[in-house]
Amino acid sequence: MKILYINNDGGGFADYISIEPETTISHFVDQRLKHGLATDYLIRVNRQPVSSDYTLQEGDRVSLTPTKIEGARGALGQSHGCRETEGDLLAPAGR
Amino acid sequence: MNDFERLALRAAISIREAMLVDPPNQELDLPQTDWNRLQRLLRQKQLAQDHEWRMAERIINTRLIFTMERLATDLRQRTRDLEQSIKSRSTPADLRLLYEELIALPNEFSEVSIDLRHGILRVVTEEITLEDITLGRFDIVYNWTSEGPGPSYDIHALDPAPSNANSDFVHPHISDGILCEGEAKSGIEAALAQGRFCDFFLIVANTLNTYNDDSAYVTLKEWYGTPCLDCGTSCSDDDLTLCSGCEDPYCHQCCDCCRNCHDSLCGSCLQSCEECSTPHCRDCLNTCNECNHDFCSHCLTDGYCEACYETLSETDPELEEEDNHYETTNPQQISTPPTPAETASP
Ligand SMILES: [Zn+2]
Ligand SMILES: [Zn+2]
Ligand SMILES: [Zn+2]
Ligand SMILES: [Zn+2]
Ligand SMILES: [Zn+2]
Repeated sequence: MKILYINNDGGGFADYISIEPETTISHFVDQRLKHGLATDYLIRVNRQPVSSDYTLQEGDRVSLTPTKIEGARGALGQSHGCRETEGDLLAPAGR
Repeated sequence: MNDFERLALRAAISIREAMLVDPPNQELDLPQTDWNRLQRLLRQKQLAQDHEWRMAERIINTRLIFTMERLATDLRQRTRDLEQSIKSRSTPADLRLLYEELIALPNEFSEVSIDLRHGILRVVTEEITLEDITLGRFDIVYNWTSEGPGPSYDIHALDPAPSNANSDFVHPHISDGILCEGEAKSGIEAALAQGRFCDFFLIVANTLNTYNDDSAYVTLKEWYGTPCLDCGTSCSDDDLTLCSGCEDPYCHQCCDCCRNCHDSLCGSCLQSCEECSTPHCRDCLNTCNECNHDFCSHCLTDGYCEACYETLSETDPELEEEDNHYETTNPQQISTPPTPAETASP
């Protein structure tokens, strides 16, 4: 089944992806964040907080936003953005 | 539909209209300067080869490689910019998506407002504290009608607690209302281009909630300035004086200057002449040869304080005579501070 997955880390990622049915949100997040901790992210399903055992449904909108994002100063900001980014830079969110 | 939802719907319609308007025709210019430079370098290379100038050819080759690489990077960036502008134009945000983003804002922020007339979306962050320093709440203001270069949003401190070290800064990563986005840059651009406003505000708020020591306008370590060692007041560097005695920092109020050499000194390093009480540095006071107390040069005569001089001259008439002699023939001598050789240190 398909869900809309948005990851606001780094370059940002937003696209429909396929997942196994009966996937819980915590399982899904662990799968996607190979190097990160779920506690470092604000996790929303259909723009609402959910419990970790929530089972994802067809068409759900899952968004992950890091709770810590390092700002910079002036010109230094240009060279930042060293977090790992996931896939395409600007995949359209809607259709 | 409640009042906020009605307002959000009208805002979503207005935002969608603004997004559909083609951005002002950006002229697609090409990196002409580097291109011309490459052609010039190629001619130079040919010339060097013809004359077998090996050294010159090597230098030209290095410059060619450098310029080619710079041109390639530049072109790649221009390609990305063009792709992005085409993409954001060809996929206007869905009205439902925009509406849902707007009505989700009150779930994330305690204060949200929409100003239809001016095209402004505004949220207030929670109180931000970085490394135990309270910076207060911030207003993130997005203007969906804003045109031209530069960010379409700005940030204001609602309970400004500027740095003592530099009062221009209310947050280590904000200057003049503009957030230096750092890692957030591409996430913000993507969220705005796709109309994901809730994501946009969350990314900005979470960036405000994060401190990056390596790249702050004012580091939090220096946020409160340096405390005066005497009264404890935090001061910016401009408001601090280094005591020329102990070399520790003090505020202007806690320093005074030596009336002889005008060096600034802290309360503990400053001493007073025991006769006239004027403040002096240790070096500008001298010890009376007789009583071993400290006096300024004006209050010593031939290395003796006034009291000792009087007593001594009563018992040693020569001293008085000598003194009179000085006074009559060389009055300036009296006000000259005795050199260390003339004074006996205890
Ligand atoms: Zn002080
Ligand atoms: Zn001192
Ligand atoms: Zn002095
Ligand atoms: Zn004196
Ligand atoms: Zn004396």
